[in-house]
Amino acid sequence: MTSQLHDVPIEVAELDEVHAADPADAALDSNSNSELPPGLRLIKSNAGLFITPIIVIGGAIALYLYNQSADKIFQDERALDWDRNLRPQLEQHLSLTLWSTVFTILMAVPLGILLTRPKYKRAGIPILAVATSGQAIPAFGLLVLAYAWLGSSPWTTIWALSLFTLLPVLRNTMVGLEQVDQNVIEAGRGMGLTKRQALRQIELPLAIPVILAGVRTALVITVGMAALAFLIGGGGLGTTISAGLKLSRDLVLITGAVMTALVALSVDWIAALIEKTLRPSGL
Amino acid sequence: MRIKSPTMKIVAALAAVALVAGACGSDDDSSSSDGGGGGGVTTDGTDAGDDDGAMTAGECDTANNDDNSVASLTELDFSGLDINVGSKDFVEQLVLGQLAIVGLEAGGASVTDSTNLGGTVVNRDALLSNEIDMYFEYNGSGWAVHLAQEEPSFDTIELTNGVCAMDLAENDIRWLGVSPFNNTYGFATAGDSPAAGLDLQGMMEYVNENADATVCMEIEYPNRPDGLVLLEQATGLAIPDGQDRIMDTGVIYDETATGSCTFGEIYTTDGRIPALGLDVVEDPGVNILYNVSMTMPDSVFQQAPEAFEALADTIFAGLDGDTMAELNRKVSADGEDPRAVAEEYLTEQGLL
Repeated sequence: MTSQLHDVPIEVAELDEVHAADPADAALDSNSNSELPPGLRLIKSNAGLFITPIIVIGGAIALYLYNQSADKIFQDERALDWDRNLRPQLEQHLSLTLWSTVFTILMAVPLGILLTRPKYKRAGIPILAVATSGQAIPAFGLLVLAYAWLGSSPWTTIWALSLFTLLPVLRNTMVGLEQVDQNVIEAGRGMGLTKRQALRQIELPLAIPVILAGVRTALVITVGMAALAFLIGGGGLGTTISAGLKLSRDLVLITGAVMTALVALSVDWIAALIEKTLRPSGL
Repeated sequence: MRIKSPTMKIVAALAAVALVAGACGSDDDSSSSDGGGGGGVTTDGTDAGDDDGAMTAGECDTANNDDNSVASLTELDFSGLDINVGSKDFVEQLVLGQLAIVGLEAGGASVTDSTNLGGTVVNRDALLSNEIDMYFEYNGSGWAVHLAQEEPSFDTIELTNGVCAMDLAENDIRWLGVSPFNNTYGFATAGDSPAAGLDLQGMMEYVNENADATVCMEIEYPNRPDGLVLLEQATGLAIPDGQDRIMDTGVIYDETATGSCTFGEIYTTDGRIPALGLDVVEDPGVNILYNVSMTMPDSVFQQAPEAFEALADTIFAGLDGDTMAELNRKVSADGEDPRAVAEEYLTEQGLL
């Protein structure tokens, strides 16, 4: 039973090419870690979580040194001014990412739960098809459509971003819930759990790794897409990338692009930490 | 669940490559901006201009108001030439590009229409790599973007002369002719806005007094040495944090008309200003006036030097500010085809 429970999410994750839990877990299962002293074992089992911060901090230092050493003209100084441009853009980028992911989860998870209930199961396929075609619209097109419809405000960008990333979260929620072994649910029901209790205490905990994998995918997509938000007045680090392009200043362009990449890596890392914390023990 | 590990490795590798590439880029950058110590070249160029072309007479006399215009474009001989004409992606550029195309065709050239190619940098790169043979460029962009210079001159002829001499010396790019009309950065507000009728000083005071007033700008303006900094210096005021918004050029006009942007940064000759009924904030001389020249690689220019000079001067001869704004308006407000507008204008002038 245990192995069966464990195997199913792996297959799903690989099929969907979504982020999955750390490689360290696989190591934890397959290795005879028990021979190692506890401290070492903790580090070894979390090795994947240490790599990202090293890359991010190393990248940030390299970027800083590159900026310090470069010959700057007025255009660079101004575009790369921390208080005037980079800091507010970084904050905008993070808040766009955060809010749109929050809305994505608020929309997709309840919808996913609903669509896996027997009563509404039939609606699942068409709705998933709509969500898939939603993601097939180019990100830029979706932003401009949202702008044409809702006008220029931060919420326009947030709505467009959350619609765009609806699919991975919705799909993973549905797949995550569907792959829970019916026998486990039956057993729970047999022990007297109501349907709602079974959902809360058995199905959702078992589906959480897959759902969170979808959320992580959504987060990383959102960070990338938020770089387009400046086109409709949404701000974000895309502003600096575009400034570098339009002013023909490589320093500005690279700084904007690398900062966006570092944000994506950091956000993914934080999501991995959350995933690790929320995953039920034993899975 | 074994996916993440290779993914992370790839991401790490990409990040490393990006950083290395960045470091290499910086070397190129610094060397080219060192080469741009052509501040000296510029001074020479402008001096030469003032001395009526003593030093750069043959090289940059196009900027000295020499009038090589002809009575009819059909007099020019471009036969046997294949010319690819580019332009930036806004109305004024489309019209200018079509004026050149019609003129070249009248002179017997075989023309490829690459107008509406993209932004400033796209056109410039295409010109430098000979993918296009000409496009019209503003002296301010030449100075602040392509030549990466600071502190531009307020004298438009001096600016064109400086850019012309420096660009020819460094990049073998010719600047031909100077437009009588000028285009410059400006600000506008909706016609029915409570902020209508102000000058730039009044606008900055208004923005500082009203926390809900927003100023929308495209990305270049706040970062250029001939952009927002001039306004800040002239008024002694800055746009408060959070009241400035960056957006794409095309969006600003509509957002300003609806009042979503209290003030929008605009180009003064844009046809959407009359079309949307925008009120232009009065500029007591804060922004630098920019004129347009035809830019082309020297190698292309040498194929028919006199004809190209004559083409530029002839096209520019009648294009004062009102005329250019009217041509722009026909395209952006009346929806006419830029080519038709160009043909109509040249015919009216008796140039075809």
